[in-house]
Amino acid sequence: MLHAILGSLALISQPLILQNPDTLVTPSTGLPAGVAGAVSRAAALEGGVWGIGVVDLRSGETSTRNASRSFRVDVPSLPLAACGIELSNTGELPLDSMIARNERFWEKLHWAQQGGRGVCAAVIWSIRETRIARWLSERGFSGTAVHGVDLDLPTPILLEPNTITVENAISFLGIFYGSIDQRSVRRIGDNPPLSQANRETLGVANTLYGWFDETGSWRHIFIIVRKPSGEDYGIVILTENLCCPGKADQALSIIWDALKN
Amino acid sequence: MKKLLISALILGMVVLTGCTGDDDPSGPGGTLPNVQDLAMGAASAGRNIVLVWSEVQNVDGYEVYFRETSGGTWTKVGETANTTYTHEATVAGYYSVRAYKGSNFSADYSSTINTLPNIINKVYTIYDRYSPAQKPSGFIFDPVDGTPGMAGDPNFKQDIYAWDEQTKGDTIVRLYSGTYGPYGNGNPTYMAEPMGTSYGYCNQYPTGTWYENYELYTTDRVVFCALPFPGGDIIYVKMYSLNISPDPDSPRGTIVSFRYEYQTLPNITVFTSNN
Repeated sequence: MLHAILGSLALISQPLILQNPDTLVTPSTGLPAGVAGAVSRAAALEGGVWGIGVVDLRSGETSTRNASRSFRVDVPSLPLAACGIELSNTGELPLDSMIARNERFWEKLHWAQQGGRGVCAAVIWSIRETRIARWLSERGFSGTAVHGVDLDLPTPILLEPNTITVENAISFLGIFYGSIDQRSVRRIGDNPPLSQANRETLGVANTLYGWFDETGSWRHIFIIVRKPSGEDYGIVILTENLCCPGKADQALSIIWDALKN
Repeated sequence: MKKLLISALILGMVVLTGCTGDDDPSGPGGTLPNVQDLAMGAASAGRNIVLVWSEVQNVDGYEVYFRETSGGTWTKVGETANTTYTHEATVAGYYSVRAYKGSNFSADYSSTINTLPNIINKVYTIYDRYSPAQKPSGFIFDPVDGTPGMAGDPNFKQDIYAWDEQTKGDTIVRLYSGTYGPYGNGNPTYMAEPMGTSYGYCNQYPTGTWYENYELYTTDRVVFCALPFPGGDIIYVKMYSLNISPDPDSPRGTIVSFRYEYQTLPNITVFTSNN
């Protein structure tokens, strides 16, 4: 179902920052007409449980399926990036601060985005799990939980599962987009660790920022696509009990077909 | 004649030693009273060593002397008309004071005080998480003898432990604070780099840049540690003779070996120049 206008986002409790100051001069036309159908088709793919979301980042218009269902996340680098950006914007933990020897906060967030499990764990330890939980709670991201990252330890530490929802992920992409004029923010999401198939789908002409999370059971994709023509979209693909990773790529392809023109 | 030459040589050496001073100097040779009660003032902090002593009547002032080692050469570091002097030290060492009036001096140097840390002359070894599980990664600093131990053991309250944040490389290793990361059940420790090649002092925490997460490079020789104690005092430790090497018992394990100096004077950040 297509949420037609930004006003409908008010029904979702999470606040959004969806306007890029650099592009305010050009009115947005919202999501293309075919997106709602594409979201439905992607969510109906066999071989997995799906959460699908698309947002026109300039207008805030969204189209989603299973928006509030929580999906498990292995490496929670996207919520950490959003949390880090907001903590930086309030001055609590600037992205340029050194949180480890010779390593700035934004660098650690970037290496977490690149899939570094140990680095992602270190980001959680640096911000503190309790502070992250408080931020999630204060901002109303009730479908998201960040507890840690499973590491290769001699005696494994049992962690509560990390989770995320489509509607929360869209808000996280919105937080990123709202500060995209900051170089250190762009660097966090730069060079997304997408599969070759995803890259071919999205083409080389667009500017991409993104996050990726994969286990044997799921492949999650979170992408911001900035088209040369001025449109800026966010895409969220969440999966569970996935039969094969290529299915998630197929879902992305269906969504992108509706956005690319 | 030969005997006479040797005697003259020995006499010359004695005279030279007397001029430069030593642990029990024969004295500057003046006639003024000696300075008494030389002590370190409570306001001492970081590398600012505050010296205090009792007044000597009818003198112009006092000369403050410093030397790095007990057998080293005394160097005058300052002069004052008061009974206190603050020395901004770049290395730990000994202090002595004498009074002067015109060209006359105390008959002898005062007793000495020193800011030397405990030098734990022993090599300790810890290992990162890719070394075999029975090898210790944690470490507790102690004024007399440190203790390696299993950081994963909840009963072992480590000050630091070795940790590899990545999944590759056999010389990639970090030092984590005892309160940071997966084994954060220990005691807090903040770590700082040496300032250039000055290994004799560090900043006072939190001045400068201190880390709970400290990546070690194979070129590192020194790491300064700040250990906060209940009540607010901070004890400083200098890890030195650092050596980072692959663990032959594991394809990705890393060995970190080191010695350390433990500054027993709370909040004082001076050490020897060992590296």
